[in-house]
Amino acid sequence: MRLALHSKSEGGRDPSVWAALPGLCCQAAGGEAQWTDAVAAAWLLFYAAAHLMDSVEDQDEPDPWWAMQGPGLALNAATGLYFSACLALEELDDLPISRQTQRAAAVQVLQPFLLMSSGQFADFNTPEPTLEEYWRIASAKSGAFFSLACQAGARLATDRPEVLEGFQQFGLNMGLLIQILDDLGDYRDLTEQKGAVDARSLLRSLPAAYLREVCTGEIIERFNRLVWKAGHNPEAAAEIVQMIEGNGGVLYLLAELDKRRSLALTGLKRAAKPSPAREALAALLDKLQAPST
Amino acid sequence: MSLAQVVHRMSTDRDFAAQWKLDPESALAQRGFRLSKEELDFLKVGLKRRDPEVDLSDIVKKAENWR
Repeated sequence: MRLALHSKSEGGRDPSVWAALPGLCCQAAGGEAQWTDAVAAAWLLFYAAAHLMDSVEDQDEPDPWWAMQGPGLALNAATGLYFSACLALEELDDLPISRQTQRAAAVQVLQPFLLMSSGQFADFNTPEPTLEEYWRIASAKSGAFFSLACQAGARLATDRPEVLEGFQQFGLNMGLLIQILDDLGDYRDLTEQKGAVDARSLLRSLPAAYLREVCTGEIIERFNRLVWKAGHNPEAAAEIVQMIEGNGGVLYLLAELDKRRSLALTGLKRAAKPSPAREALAALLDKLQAPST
Repeated sequence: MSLAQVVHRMSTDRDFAAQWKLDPESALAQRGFRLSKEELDFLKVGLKRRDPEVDLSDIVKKAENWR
């Protein structure tokens, strides 16, 4: 399991960057950051487990530590991580908060993972999502993941619905922002022709979903054919880039980045009064995406 | 998905793009498009403040630790 957690910071997202999120939300909501240690630990352990399962389900390139033995080892590690996450939540018993609040925070962590599982199921069964499907899946996966961290942290401090809804909006849109940046990174690799193009990822990406929304069937068919050639044919890759840019794909991504940032900030302002913790949360957004207005 | 349709029109329809520059709200209303406040703000104001030579690499690099 140590290897599973370690590989997250190398090949995947770096947990240390997000680990403060539940604590900051708790603080911004009027609580103490250290109350969220159990929630933050469970959240990160659940993520590590879910990411391993995703990798196996999507038949991604295996991490070195399970490449030899195969997906069975990865699933075994994921199982251990899931149970470790559940055990971490038991630490909520030690906090100076009511039993009701402990249970509510635990549910706030556990329940969204059901939504995330349904998101992964939809992702699995939707190889060429429409734009609407893309956003639904992204909300159920990345959006739900960050939303739960924010809400669970805040729930340890308060049960006021307007505060929890504000943090839900903040976390959801932060998650969507990160998902867009993920897709943008893959798109950048395509434009710079860095390494192999993952055709399946490209077909699921936001630029591809955007083209399906706005272009004719002929263009979409052309795009679909080029995607499978782009990995070994620079001209195909270049034509894909031209299709996306010529139809406003980059502008659309930029507009969505800006929109998600604005919505995240609006949620944060609804949730919390000005404070160092709230400013720190806003600063996390600035690290992702600079404002355009 | 109005935002996608509007952006596509701005990028591929010269008449729409010209009308947008003069009167964005009318351009939208004539074609039955509706945008949220955040979407409209970016397309009306945010786009003008961006460097026209948008460097995707800079945007992505900034968020590298989060990916």
